[in-house]
Amino acid sequence: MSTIESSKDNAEVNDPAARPQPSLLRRLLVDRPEMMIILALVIIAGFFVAVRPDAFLSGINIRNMSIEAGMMMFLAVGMTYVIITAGIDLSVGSLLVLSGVCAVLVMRMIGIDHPAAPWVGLLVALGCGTLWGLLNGFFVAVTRLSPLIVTLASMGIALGIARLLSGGVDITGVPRSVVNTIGIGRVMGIPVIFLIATAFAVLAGVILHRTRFGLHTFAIGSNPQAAERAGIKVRRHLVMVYAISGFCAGLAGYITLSRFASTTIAGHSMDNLRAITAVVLGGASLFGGVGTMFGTSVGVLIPVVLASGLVIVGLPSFWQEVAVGIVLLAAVLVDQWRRSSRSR
Amino acid sequence: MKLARLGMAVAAMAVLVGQSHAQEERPKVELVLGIQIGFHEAIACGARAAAEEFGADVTVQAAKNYGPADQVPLLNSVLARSPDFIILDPTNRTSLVAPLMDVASQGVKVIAVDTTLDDTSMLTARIGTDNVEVGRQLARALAEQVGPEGGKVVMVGSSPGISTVDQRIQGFEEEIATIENIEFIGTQYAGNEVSQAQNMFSSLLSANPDLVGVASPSENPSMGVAGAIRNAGVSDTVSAAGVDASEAQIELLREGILDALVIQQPYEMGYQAVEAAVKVANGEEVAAESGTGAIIGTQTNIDDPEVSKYLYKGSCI
Repeated sequence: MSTIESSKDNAEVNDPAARPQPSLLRRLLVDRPEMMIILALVIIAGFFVAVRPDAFLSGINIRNMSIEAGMMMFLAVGMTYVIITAGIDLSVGSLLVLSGVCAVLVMRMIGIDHPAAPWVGLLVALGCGTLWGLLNGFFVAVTRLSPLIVTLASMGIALGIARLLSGGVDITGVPRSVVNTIGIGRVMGIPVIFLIATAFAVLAGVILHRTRFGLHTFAIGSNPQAAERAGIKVRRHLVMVYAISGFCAGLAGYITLSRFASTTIAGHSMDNLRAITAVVLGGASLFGGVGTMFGTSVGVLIPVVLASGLVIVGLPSFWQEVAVGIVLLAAVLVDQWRRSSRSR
Repeated sequence: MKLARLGMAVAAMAVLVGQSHAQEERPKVELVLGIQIGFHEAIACGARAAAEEFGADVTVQAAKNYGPADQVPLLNSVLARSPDFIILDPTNRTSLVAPLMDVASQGVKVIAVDTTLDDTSMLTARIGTDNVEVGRQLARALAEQVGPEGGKVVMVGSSPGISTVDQRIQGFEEEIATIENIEFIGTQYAGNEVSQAQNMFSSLLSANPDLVGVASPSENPSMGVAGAIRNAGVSDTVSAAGVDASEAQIELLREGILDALVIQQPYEMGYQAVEAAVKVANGEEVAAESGTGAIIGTQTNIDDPEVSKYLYKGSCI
């Protein structure tokens, strides 16, 4: 469907006389990149609804998908900021694990039945993530190393430290109250994890799109030299952006603890790439300067819908990785076409 | 024309009635396995065989990595298919409690195979090996392979917190302490990756050149241990005993790198779990806990039909 439209539109571009007014669809696709990914999401979800409407639209599945999407959203929020500055943060999955391990260890130290334990644990997780993010930012912005290398190195260091602290094995000792109120908690049937993730994403989206801080983030991603000349403190801003990504990983680490009542050291090796996938699916450019929080939140949903939908229709869940890869490639290809047709 | 339409309607109704009738008798069972390896293939094969025999609709899913971060989302997804029963091997005794409570509260009955949980109140039945006994058998098998001269032995485990592994190590440690001339230098946890166990045991070999025996409580650590023994060329001096019997492990046993395997009966676990599900669906009582035994396989007896029928084979996931 979209390929037919696109070839027709291309033909129109090459023949200016035939096209005085761009079509509505074309305007939507070119000017609102998120539309493409929403279309893909609707097609994928529509397929599963058509095959198993009872199961796919059941309360259980909607709840399950909202939790999965919420979990991924925390990392994707930070990754959106980083990618808009033309950076990358590979350390988020390891940092999630490290923050969780630190939080559990501290909570065990003060006694998991202590009334302050959940709050202390949260502060430790957020502090650990933010500090690590500041370090990433320092090396990226001040020493001007490539963010790919900096965060690749700190990914290994963070996971290694997490394993050292925990003895390489998962540790339990998450306060029961945290598991009950956040991990499996619901408010009017809506999972608490989803509510927290939504509130967090809205806040981060408002900061990105409606404040000077967000504007500077886009400016640095588009052209750091120009941003510098325009008086933006580029280095300081970059350090803060990586700190935000670290903060998100710390928050994700704490929420993960509440969900599994234990650390899950081995379970997050692909989280960094999943977050990057979601952000790119959402229309952000790895070259910086382009991206929206709304697009990212749609991008988060695609792998989640595929994962549960494929299980529901009875296919092995391994197909999810194949399908996500294909959607990602298609999204980037369409994006490239979109850019070239806009620049013409 | 009208007659034809009527005929079609009747036929359609007959199909519908037939379907609903069949669904009443055949419980819908979802099997959510922790990983796709030989042991779990055998569980799935047993489940499918019992489904055929007793009448149940079994669907099988396996997680990508052994752990709650992969198993819980899978569990929640199959829940949306509104099954009557979920059979699973809990990959973590703490993390799975809350999700399974949730499953049970939706009216889905849960049967645990192989591993167990901190809190088993939501389980309809649990079918697995007596893992403390497996640990004792492992200790005796290792001692027999080491021989009367004895020496230093070590245990290489995957991770604490997996109930089967914890209990096997407990049984092993209790039993090995009672055996004369054997000096047990402790349990080392390597994680559930073959490569991690291989690295760890290579280091243990360098640190303890006088080591005469090693035990491991599950498949992946024993594969890693075997790799390290092969690399170091010490298969004649170091006896290795493991638990489980995947095709790769049997190959290593035939080669003489592994010397004894305590073989569980995962096929029986899958089979009995589905049998229990059908019984419960028909209103019969089932035991809350039931055990499947274990036997010891060595290079000499592995091809006996009495032993080889328990090997972990098949492709049922």
